[in-house]
Amino acid sequence: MRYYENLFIVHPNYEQAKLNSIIESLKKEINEQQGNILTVEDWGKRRLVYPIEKQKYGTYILIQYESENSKINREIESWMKLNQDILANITIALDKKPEPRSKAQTDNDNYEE
Amino acid sequence: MAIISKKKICKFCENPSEKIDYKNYKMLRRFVTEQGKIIPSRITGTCSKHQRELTKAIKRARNIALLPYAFDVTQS
Repeated sequence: MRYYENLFIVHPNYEQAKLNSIIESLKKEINEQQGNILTVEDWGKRRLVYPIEKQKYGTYILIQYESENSKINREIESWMKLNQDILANITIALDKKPEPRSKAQTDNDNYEE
Repeated sequence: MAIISKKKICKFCENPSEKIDYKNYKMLRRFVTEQGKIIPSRITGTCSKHQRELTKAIKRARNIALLPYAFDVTQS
């Protein structure tokens, strides 16, 4: 089994409903590629350190998934590149099954300055 | 006169529970300068194994706009 983690930035002008529909379509895409979603985490809207596509803010979403399909990460990345709503994404291959992220850890990450 | 400096100990060897992760950008910020440059291990005292991991994590964080590639100090 392969484990992947993907962090992506969604356009800041979207409301929660639109955000959910993006996540839903991503889930569908992962399922189509025989992937299994482990965690989805919304970091909320935060300031980008440098502007991407003229946007100063962005909504960060972290998704972790597992699959036997070795092409899944490339498929998901190309799907994200084609999606106009996603400003940037990064995929990391994990060497072992990710442990569920603790509440404290999440709170620490979400801390706004 | 010989200058004897205290031997620095790698922070991550000392404390194995501290994981190097690109998502933990607040921790990574301690290892970059104000301008956003990576601080060499000879100054921070990080061992070469962990410095390699750090470099990778910082570059990943830059890619996803959690850390700056360059920060203009003169402007602000």
